[in-house]
Amino acid sequence: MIGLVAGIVGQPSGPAGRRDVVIAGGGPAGLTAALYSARYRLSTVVLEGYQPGGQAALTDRIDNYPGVPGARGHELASLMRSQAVEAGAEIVPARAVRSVHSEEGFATETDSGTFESPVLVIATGAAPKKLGVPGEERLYGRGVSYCATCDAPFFRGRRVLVVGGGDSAVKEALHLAGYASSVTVVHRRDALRAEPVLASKLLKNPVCGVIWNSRLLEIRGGDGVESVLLETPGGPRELEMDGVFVYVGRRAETDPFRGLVELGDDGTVVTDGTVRTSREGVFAAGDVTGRELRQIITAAADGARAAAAAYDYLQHHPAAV
Amino acid sequence: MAGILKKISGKELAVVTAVKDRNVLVDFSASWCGPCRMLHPQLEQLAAEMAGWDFYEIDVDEAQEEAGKLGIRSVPTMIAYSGGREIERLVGFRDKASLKTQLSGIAGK
Repeated sequence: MIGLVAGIVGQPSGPAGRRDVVIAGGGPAGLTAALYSARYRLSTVVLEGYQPGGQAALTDRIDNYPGVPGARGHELASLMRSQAVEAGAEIVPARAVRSVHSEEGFATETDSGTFESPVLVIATGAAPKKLGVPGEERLYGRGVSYCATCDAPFFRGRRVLVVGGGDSAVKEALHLAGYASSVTVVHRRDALRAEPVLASKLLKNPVCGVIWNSRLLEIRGGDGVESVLLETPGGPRELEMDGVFVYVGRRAETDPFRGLVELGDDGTVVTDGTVRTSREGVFAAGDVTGRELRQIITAAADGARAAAAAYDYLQHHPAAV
Repeated sequence: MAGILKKISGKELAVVTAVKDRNVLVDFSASWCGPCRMLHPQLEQLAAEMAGWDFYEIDVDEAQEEAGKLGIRSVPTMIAYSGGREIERLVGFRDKASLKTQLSGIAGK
């Protein structure tokens, strides 16, 4: 038997302290892991970080989460959160700074104290990648954006450029089409990577156009974005533009776990194909892993698997508790 | 007295930012913006902790003219004023600790 009950092993004097399971990250992966872990009766804390609900909460409309057609991202995320809390998980606004191996298992330092646990679930997700072109940083917030859900209303009747060709780029371009007078997608290949239903919506939308096989070289403007310089098959091309939305992939948020678990070249946590990492007792779920499909449903599925693996691990390692 | 995060209208903006002997931070926010909702409690706490600063929040939908004049095209955007002048512009969500460090660094710049 294992004494996996909060209060026996934990000393919950304030949020920091010891738990059975510490989950870093409060997006769909972390919240689902918390729901399952709490239902296994493991004392569970989610270090929510500063983006409650993760990227899902910043997505305007979600059409591919089964059972909830047309879900609003922030509503879905907030339902997941309250479901985890009702199941008994604690959610704290702490952000993981560094996790190390300790006698107790793992010690996760945060800006609100240190959390110790025999099991750690890494579900810190990913953040948008920057392009690194001239003008991008200087004009951020002055026409350059990484969040169409947040900033689309500023571009009512204006011209915007969307960089990228994946699901996010196309989804956000379609969202922008509801506001902007023209949405130009610039993509470095000759076909969109986005799922076909999204891609064909974009190609049929009269407001949207695609410039293929091209790259954004520079964003120009004084107090705001005025134009963009593209490298196209026909040579360099300058287009007048009021906004630039960048969706060229994401970078996994794994800095706190460097040295604890093996990371891939792209910074994602290396897993064995499910949720196991290079270190026993540490599991990874969602966009922080290097897996192909990065969706809310796959993140949630990972979270469930991570909690099940955590439960299994604790049963076989009673000494860890 | 601990400060509070005060909601102001677009018309009040010129008045509060003209105060010469105070540092002022104005958060341009919107009800439909997730990061703005996350930022709000951070600013409430900062307002209570940072005595040298006044904190205001303004809804860009209710202050379209002012936001437009200031070239704001992203929310949240925070503008720091000192001596009645804009001294810094911060775009996007920041947590309390990093905001505090940033504001302490620019005070009196």
